[in-house]
Amino acid sequence: MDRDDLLLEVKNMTKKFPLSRSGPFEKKKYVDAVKDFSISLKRKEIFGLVGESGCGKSTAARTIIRLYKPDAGKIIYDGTDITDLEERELRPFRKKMQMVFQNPYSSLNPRHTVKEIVTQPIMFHGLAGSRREAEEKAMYYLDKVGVLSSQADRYPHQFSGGQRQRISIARALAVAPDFIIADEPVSALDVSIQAQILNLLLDLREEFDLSLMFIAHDLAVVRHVSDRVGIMYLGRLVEYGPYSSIFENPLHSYTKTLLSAVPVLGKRTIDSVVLSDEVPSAPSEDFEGCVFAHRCGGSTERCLCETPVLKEHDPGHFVACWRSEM
Amino acid sequence: MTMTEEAKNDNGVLLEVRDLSTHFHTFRGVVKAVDGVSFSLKRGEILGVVGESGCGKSVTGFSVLRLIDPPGRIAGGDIIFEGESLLKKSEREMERIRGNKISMIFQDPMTSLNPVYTIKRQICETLELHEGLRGREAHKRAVELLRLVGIPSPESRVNYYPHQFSGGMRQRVIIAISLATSPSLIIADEPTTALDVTVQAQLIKRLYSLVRKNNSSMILITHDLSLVSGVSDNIIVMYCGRVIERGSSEAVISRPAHPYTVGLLGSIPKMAGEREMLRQISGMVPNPFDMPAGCAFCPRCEMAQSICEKEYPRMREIEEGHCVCCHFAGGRGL
Repeated sequence: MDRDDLLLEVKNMTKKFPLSRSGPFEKKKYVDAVKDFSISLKRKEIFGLVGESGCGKSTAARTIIRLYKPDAGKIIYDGTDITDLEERELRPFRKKMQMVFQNPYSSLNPRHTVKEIVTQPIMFHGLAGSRREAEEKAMYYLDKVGVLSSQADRYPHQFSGGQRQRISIARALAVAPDFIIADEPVSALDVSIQAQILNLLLDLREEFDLSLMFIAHDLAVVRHVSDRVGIMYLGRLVEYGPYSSIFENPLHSYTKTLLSAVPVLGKRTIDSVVLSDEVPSAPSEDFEGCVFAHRCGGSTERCLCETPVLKEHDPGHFVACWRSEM
Repeated sequence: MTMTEEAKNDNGVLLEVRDLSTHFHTFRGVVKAVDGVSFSLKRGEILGVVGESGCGKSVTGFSVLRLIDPPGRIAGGDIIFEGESLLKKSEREMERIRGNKISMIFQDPMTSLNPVYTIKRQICETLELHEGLRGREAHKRAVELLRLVGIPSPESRVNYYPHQFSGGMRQRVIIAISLATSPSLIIADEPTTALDVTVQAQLIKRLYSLVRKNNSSMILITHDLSLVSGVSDNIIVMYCGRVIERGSSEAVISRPAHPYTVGLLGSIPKMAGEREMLRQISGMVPNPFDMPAGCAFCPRCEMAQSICEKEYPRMREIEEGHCVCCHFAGGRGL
């Protein structure tokens, strides 16, 4: 991979959260919400991150843009190590990395007009000489996402869910970022509106040379937009690679069952292979072994005691499974 | 009357909804949430009701159980269940039907269980009310039901409170409650929308086999066309309070006729094959206070002509059992 092409590199990032103690003298215990997470992202690339609720995909994303401080590992953004930067030092990076949130109802300030919402970040980062210039810029981005200028003085509640998500996207674009994390941007939307937003994101990527980390639980949506896809399970990245090889040739047994559970038009849902049990809670920090071993059909002795590491199976296609080596 | 005689008398039709209208009277005007919906359901049939938010699919389900609270009101039409009109029944009679002959599974497993009672108490309430089971007998049946829906170690789990279960497990409990009386009709309103795909697959599989085993009928209300296509025998597609297309799952999915259905199917990203630009439906659902005079889909329809603006199209049969509500669909003008 050309090094100049690399925008983001994450190496063995770990984020722990404390568990509530059962008594005042108990030793504090931690859970690994994200463990040994390593990915790299090229410019203009869309990386899709998939997994079920609670698997740590949002935590991973938030740690990458330093909304959380990682407990271990490195985050290198555009050649700079941002792992240990203080809030003040992070500020120039904040405008390069933006986020679009899942819920278009709670992520927009209800007391501000749409124009104000999009103008604010431009003013904050000093990207315009005057308020007027900032507003002009805001209008430009609102137009880009398909919000009419006649609607710019309205408040968020006057818009539908899809329109609000467009406004969130305009707000993220307003500071001319290189990298946007879209955390479940379409999961609250109806399918016809979802298609509009997905098409919009793909267009904007071309127009503004954006890199995107696209987080979703809907595999079909991720397949549609991503260049590469990563699958997470209980805080670990278990497999990643080009979208085509992940979907056509999944290697990890979790990926396989996940894919088989997705309802497909015309396919008998009831014929799908189902996992037994439910997703267990995330293991404690001293856990060794494969996190999926207990639900995996073919786990061996080794899977229970030794943690598998990500290995390249096909070019660019990595999987953390002992069995894939056989 | 035995089951077979009963079935013969009504041609196997369990539920018939005729021209149902449910309106909500608000300060800003009347919202016709359901506006002239008709469909029928045979014994043992699984019917999928699909559409996007606000299309009236849930209100249709609630109307069948007469669970419409003011300002909502069933404004017209009739609902015939097992040969009798549900709209003519007293509230007392309805109470004996709800949860007994017709049960409902709601979307949100967090709010449809009472947080201060154990699971056992909530299952036994249904058993006592409708089946007259008490004490040890009820307990035994409750454990049996939990085992049936796939809850591990039901003997101890039966004493748990709802917060001790995950979302998927709670939805299993709700399914157990809804199956407790072996109802002839189950209305499942987005039963798996709040759940992850792997849990959804487990639950749908379980629900499907239980419904088929009991020879119950089910109305599966969902926004997920892919899910419904793999489970139901027939599908109705709703838009703005009306049924715009209905037919067998196979016909609606592989030969969609209404431009809205075509658009919906085109907006779903595919799981295999080449990635193509998603076919989006432009615009938005019209304001319920300001509905177009003609076809409600007309402002978003690529094929709309002047007639579509003026006249609401009638339901037409384009092939056997496959009906569509469009002036042009199915070879006429297209």
